[in-house]
Amino acid sequence: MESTMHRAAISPSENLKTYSPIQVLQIHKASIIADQVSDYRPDGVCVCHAPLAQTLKMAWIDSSQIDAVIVDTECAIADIVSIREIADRNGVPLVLHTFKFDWKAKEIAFETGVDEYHIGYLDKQFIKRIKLIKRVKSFLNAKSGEQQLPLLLDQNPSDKSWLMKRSFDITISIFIIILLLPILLIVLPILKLETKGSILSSFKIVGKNYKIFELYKFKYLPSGSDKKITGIWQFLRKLHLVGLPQIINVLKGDMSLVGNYPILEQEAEKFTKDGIAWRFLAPVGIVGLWRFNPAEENKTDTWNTQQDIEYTKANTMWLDIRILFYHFRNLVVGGRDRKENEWMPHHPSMEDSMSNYISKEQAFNVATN
Amino acid sequence: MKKILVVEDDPSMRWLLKNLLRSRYEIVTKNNGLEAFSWLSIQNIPDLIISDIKMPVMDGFEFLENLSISGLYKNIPVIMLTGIDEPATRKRCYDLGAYSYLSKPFKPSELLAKIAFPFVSKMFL
Repeated sequence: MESTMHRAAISPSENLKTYSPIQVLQIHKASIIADQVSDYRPDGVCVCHAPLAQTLKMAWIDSSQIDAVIVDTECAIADIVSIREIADRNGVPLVLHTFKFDWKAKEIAFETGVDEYHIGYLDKQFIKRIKLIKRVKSFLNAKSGEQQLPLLLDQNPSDKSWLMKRSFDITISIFIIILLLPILLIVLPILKLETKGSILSSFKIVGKNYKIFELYKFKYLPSGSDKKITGIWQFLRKLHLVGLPQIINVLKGDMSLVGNYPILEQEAEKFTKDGIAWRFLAPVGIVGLWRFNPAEENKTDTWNTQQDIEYTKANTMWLDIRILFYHFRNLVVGGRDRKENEWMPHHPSMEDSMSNYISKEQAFNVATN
Repeated sequence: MKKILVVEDDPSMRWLLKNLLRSRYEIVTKNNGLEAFSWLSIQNIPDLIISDIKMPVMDGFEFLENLSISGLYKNIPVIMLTGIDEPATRKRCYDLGAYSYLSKPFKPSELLAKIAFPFVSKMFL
């Protein structure tokens, strides 16, 4: 007996090719139903029919003539799996089809690994899905053929020197505490008296990996209703020691000696966007590139963010040492030297990234205005 | 642990999302809609999807539409996380079947709440 499938799938008439955007082979368990002639659906699907037994025996479906194979839940799971193997070999999508949503059918679809579970008529949405499944299949074939190269996009800025940075932080912090111990032994009791309570105030800051922590500073207002700034705080400010309690944060591992600009939780929520989210890869620092602002009065979030991303992308031990050195030099000399070309390394990756970000932002602004 | 598929072309956002969510969820990241569908096609089913809109090869609209018309994936909640903050885009996403919409920059706490809601309410079961 010459089957309908044989006629339709192997030698389709010219008419079928001209009028149908996609051709589907529907497999039926009962051979009587399968013996019906090919039919056209309103949305442009041409369906030809074939009995299950013959499809399994032939083990052959021509992907140049058939866009998809359809089975229903009448077929046994083992048979659907066998058809899937044939369809897979020939790169033809296999679809399990029911007219109404059925949980059991969905489970069968997952179990048998068919490409799609379609509910309802073979309409435009069905055509769209088949086209995408074919696109995905050819994408996967092309991908398996080529050498797997590491994705450049997935190479995050370096985080390798973390252990060295941590050891450096702890060593220098302990050294600073020992160095300042004589001053602290005098200042802290006075501050305790003046503030009439805790000597520390804290702020919620977003640190490395978007971890929120309490950043400590010396308290400048006494507890209670007294709003007079304490005299000892002003003295500490002159010595640039107001932020000294941050050493506790450094020792705890919340932040680092050198790192990004500390930003409050509500401020941090402005940086969760393309390109600049990298800033959360580096820790917050007591000092950082942002300290070398060319002009204090021009201080802007954009400038700080630019420095933060630059630091995150560079992030080397040598850069940390240079930032610390120049910061101390500025403290002693009293100037506010901006970073200079001779000590600041050149980072093409950073420039590319920032210019990309800026051009993206501009393009977006133009598009939305 | 619930599995979340993140479809995002920007590497910094992929990194941030992975970092924000990895303590609570299993995270899989893909560059665009086509890569995401390739991963889905090898019998991977996430519990929730977070997708950008502006992506090369296959954008968020096409990705979302194909998820919504598929019997296999239509019940997976999709959160659109995008730099576009326009009512028309928002409406189009909801029309195409998105569960929720957030524009960048976003509040991480808000995103976490939106992710947790379908699991707590079991609204997509």
